[in-house]
Amino acid sequence: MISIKSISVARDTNNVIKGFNAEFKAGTVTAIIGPNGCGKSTLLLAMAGDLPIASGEILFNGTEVGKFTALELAKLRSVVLQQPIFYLAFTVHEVMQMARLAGSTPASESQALADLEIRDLTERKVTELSGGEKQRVAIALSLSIDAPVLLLDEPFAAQDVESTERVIKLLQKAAKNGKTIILVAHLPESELGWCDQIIKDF
Amino acid sequence: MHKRSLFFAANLLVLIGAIAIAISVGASQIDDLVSGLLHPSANTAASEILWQIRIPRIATALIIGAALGVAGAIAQGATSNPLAEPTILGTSAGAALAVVVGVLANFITIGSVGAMAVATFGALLATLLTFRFATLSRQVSPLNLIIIGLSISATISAVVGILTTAVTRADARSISFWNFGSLALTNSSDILPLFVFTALGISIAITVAAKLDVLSLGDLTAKHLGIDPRRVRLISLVALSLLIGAAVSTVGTIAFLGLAVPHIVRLISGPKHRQLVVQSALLGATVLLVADTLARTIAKPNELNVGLFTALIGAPVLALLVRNRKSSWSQS
Repeated sequence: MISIKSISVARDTNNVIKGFNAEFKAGTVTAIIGPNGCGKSTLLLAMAGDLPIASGEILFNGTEVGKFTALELAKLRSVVLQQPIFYLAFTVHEVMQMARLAGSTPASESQALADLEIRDLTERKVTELSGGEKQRVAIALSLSIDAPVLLLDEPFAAQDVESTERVIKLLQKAAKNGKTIILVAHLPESELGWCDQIIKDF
Repeated sequence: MHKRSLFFAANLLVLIGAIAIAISVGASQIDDLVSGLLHPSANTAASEILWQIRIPRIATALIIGAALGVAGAIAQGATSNPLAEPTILGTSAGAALAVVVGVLANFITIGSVGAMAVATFGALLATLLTFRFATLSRQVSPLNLIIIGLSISATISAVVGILTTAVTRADARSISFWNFGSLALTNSSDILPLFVFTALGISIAITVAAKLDVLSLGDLTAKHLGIDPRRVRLISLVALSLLIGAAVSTVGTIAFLGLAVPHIVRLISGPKHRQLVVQSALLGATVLLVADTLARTIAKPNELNVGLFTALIGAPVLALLVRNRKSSWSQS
């Protein structure tokens, strides 16, 4: 699904990632781990098409990520950022509706809300939610799009044990349905046994 | 009834009441008001005052009030910044400078279509300059945008002030009157182009409104949802410049209305931009009409600065609402 061929990515003038290669197959979960500042989030953003790469290429089914339009990319990969931003006090339902352009439907919306067990938050304002709840809204937003690739930056950071297990099960289920899942994690390797591939040292 | 429709209805009622009052008061007392209204082309003093002075002025106030309200709404939405406003982003100052230079070069006259076009261009350039400066530091912090916008506004306004006082020509007085912000010098011939520019600006604002909603999730997430934030912002700036270009070239700079009106609307009926644009147009029109009616009648036959009254009406209402209601903006 995704091939990374010898990419280098620069941020603030120094190369964070140099000559990195990787393959991500459909139907698998990959965890990217490593110490703070090693470029995990940078790698994820580059794969999302959000950062220009200095050299090399990132291919989605053989096509360079930069060749897609914003809308094509939105339907191809969905992204969960480490800290979701909500500047305005929209309700959770209003936020979920914002993914319609990328292909979400009322049915996929309510399925995603049910999967994350946040149906009771539907009419709450996103600005008034806790950090963990905001993150679950962001995950639901991404899942409602039903893109073949799912990129998540520390999806467990603000979650309790129960919620972490629920998200892990969801990701495994999505992978079983053929999605390519890549996540940046701050968990020890011993707790990532459920992933199909672990990337460190890059 | 839904809160939004209730607010809309209340807004509309107040507006109609304000129009009725604005028609019936003025520097001269009109006794046969109804017959004057019903016979626009009758040769009576009543019909002349009504149809050649008061009604054109009321129409101007309504259009410009709507323009300023919507301009504030899209300025705040496009920057995700609650302090953004045409007089703060440099938009109004850019429009004013373009007009003054155009008038001094004998290229345009105040209130003409040419002046509106030149002012729109100046407004767009100055706002883009603010954005360019703010993004040069790579991270566009909300505070940086405001500080840079204020600096650019102050710089351009100083140049406008010097240019207007340096002029000794016959129209210099009207330019400085215009620069002060007043509806006293508007002509009925200005109304059609003013309406066209404003209608165009508001239409663009309505079209881009749903995408402004998505921008409130931040640029990255907006991109992930299939939206090009730079394109949305540019379209918004064009709408903003059309609205401010038309308003400033006709009546000068009127501050505070663009800041206060969208906040008042959001506090009452929520952050959705489509209804925010429509309600801000309505409330903006009401506030400016009331302010202008007070400005021209309180010390008649002398006229006061309309900006005094937009502040006097808007500021306390805004402060009370912010004090008593939950903000629509993230507090973190």
